[in-house]
Amino acid sequence: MTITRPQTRRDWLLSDSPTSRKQARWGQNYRIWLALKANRLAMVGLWIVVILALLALFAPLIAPYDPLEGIGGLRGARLEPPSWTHPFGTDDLSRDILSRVLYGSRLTLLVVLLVAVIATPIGLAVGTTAGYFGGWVDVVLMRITDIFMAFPRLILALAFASALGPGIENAIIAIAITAWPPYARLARAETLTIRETDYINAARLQGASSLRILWGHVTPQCLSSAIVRVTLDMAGIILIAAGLGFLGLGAQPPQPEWGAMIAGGRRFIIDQWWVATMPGLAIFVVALGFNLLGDGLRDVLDPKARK
Amino acid sequence: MTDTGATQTEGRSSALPAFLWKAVKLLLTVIVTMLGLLLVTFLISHVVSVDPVLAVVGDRASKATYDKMFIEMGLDRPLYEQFWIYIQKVLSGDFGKSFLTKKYVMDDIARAFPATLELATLAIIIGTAIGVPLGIISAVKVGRPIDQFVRIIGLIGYSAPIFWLGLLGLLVFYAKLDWISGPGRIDIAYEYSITPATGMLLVDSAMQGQWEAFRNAFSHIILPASLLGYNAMAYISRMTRSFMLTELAQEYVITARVKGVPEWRIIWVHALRNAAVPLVTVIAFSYGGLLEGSVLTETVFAWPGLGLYLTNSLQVADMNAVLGGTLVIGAIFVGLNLLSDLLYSVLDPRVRRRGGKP
Amino acid sequence: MTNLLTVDDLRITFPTRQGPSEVVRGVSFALGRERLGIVGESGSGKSQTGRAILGLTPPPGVATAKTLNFDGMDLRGASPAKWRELRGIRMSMIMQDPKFSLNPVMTIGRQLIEAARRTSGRAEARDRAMAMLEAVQIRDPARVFKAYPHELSGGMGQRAMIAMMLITEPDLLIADEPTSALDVTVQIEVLKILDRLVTDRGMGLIFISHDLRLVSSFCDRVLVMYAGRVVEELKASELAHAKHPYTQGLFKCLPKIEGGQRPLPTLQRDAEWAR
Repeated sequence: MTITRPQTRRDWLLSDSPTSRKQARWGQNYRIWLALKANRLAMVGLWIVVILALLALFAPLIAPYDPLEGIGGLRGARLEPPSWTHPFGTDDLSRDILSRVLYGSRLTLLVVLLVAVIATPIGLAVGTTAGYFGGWVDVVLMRITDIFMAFPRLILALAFASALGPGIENAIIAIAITAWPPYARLARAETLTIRETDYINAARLQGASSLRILWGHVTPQCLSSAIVRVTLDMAGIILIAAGLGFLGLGAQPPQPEWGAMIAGGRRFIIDQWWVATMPGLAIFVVALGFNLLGDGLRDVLDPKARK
Repeated sequence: MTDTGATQTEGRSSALPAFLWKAVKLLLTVIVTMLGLLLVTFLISHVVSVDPVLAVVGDRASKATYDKMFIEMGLDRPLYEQFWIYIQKVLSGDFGKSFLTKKYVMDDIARAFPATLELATLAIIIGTAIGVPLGIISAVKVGRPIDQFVRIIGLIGYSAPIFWLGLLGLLVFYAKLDWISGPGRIDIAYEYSITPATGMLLVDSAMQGQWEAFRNAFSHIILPASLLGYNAMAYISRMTRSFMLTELAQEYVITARVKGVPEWRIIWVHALRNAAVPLVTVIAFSYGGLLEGSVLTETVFAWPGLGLYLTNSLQVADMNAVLGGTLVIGAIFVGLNLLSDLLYSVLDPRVRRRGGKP
Repeated sequence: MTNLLTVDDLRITFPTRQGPSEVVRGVSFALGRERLGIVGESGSGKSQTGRAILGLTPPPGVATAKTLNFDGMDLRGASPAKWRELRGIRMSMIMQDPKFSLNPVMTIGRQLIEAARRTSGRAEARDRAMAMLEAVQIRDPARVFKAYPHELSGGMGQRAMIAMMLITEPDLLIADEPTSALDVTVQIEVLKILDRLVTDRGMGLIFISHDLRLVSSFCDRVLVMYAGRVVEELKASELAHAKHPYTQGLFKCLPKIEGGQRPLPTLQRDAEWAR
């Protein structure tokens, strides 16, 4: 006689014969999570991203000083090296660099999220439409996509940003304009593979409009590759945003945008190296985190792309 | 009755036109893409928040001057007509005048270009010379510590902002260690000892036997080129690893082992020769990517190339210069991609004749 | 007939997520200068057996044996130097599909010379390569010499492969499904050439295939493998009198020229065979 132990939640998730769609979907997500957890570097990446999010959220509570107001102005604690009171030192306007870096994380996160939120849907929409309808629509849309992809991203973003003028909103728009093409390509490829499947045909027979099919059936298919792509892209977006900031095209002073901070500290690099180094370190760590996480996600979700 | 294998060679006679046909299709794609580039830059120039007429005549011009310039610049014509004029101008090499330097943008670009070319070329050589062997080693010792190590180095390469690394590099190697020269291409003392020929200082000074100038130019270029090279190396080593892994899993590798070919030869001759085909395209593509990287690098190192020209112009919204520079870089990028595609066809004997499927 | 190759209790294990999996479980046989066929279906372990004899078990697989002896030399744990002395010179292998087993970016000539160079100088190697191409009945050896593998048809490619592997006159040849990728008419041609070359040189041949008929007509003895074990060893001429039910089943399934039996015989598997 066998004694069955009560089914734990883990058993339910990993069951080989799920009884409901919800169970199947949760089970699949859980398996993905387990596979991801096994990859140590990816977990490091995940932690970095989580910490970034937390720091950004709680910056006002964590930052020891005000990021915009210097302490004592030009006669105060200017260009002080890292110490216990100022772990990252102070800049030329006596502002605490640690606090500025912490507040800067909000700007970074804002840029990354907004670009993702703007570019991804546009790219998916263009790609699924092109793939689904084919013919002229496909050719025209893909030509447009190719043209945008023909420019190196940074250069195009620079051109747009300079045309639109300085400011963080313009920078976000400029970056988003250069970020959508890969999603269009990806979405089109996925759409082509499922275009003639039976369940799409079934939906059509039931009278579903093209829009509904695209939105409800085709787009969800593209989501997992899109998520991987977005995560991998984030590092690139952060670097481009930092580049724009470095050139004075992003958030304007006194906003603590990391790239702009590096530009500000450039004059002092030789004797007061911390002013430019600390924000750069922040950019590096965050980009590294997204890259590690993205690599891990790709290994887990898209085994064809491995090795 | 006996199989002579003649069937495959029948396609040979039609192979030449097939290759030409492919080249023509590629050329058409390129032309359409270039037109698209032009359209994009044209549109950008019309989105500009700075009034282009004011940029030319200045704030204090009278209304009459303003109107005259407005008509002269063709801004009263319908948009598509303006675009047509724009295309004509570009094709004849007229990008307008930069209001910053007061010269023709095309001249500015021509002057700045060799500096970027020199930097990017040295960088790609460094990137390939280091990236390819590292990628091969990672593939051969896949999963082992060296593989992880190379991966991490590569990861740092594409996570660190290159302008930050540039500043740190200057701090450490120039300010603290004094191993290399600072920003700029060459010290003024040597600048006039080289007669410009190719515009590339290393090449010119070597050709003219000016070894002191050469050393000086080298100490200026080595850090920015190494940084750019590092950037390229990250991608190149990753792709090399991937291609080599694919090749080392192929059957012909087993055949070679059966023949008793030594392992080093299997890796560096048999497998690499196969991996070289896609790898060359990756390298050509990376070369284009370096143009992008050079924009920020040149700014940090005050390197008088196309990148610095572009960033100087952007900071004052000198749109003629910005768009001219963007267009030139875009065109080079497209050209390099075209080159990669063609190289692939030339190098892979299977693709050399149409219908030959691997 | 002194034994060229002796194999005793060969075991090949691969690690899997569910634990180690033994794909070859105690294979033993002896080979002289004769032709031995190894017949089995996919997954029976026949190809891995062939590879293990050449020391080419793909990592992470591990091959062990009580005896693995080639012409008096113990191959177990042989050093890379020792393998280099043997592979390509005294032992060779031809594989299934020349489209994949020949290096696509090297000309046939270069690949042949590479093999020949192991036992002769540069000029001599070239002559031997051309001579070998003629020996495998390639009508235009000069053209094939300069050609790339994808420019040849299957039959020609396989003949080039045979030429390459026999150019150094090895003592032992392992043929792993040498004709499985070829059209039936071409198969016969290639086999004829192989037959002649093997006989002329007095080599030992191990012919691995899933085709029982082919093996029985080509070889002197046949080893039947199932699920990693040898279930029967018999003379090719005595196939009709096979004792093991698996072999009998295979034999019964072979189509006969005088017409088939109705209903068509199928193989009834017994779980016992896999133990």
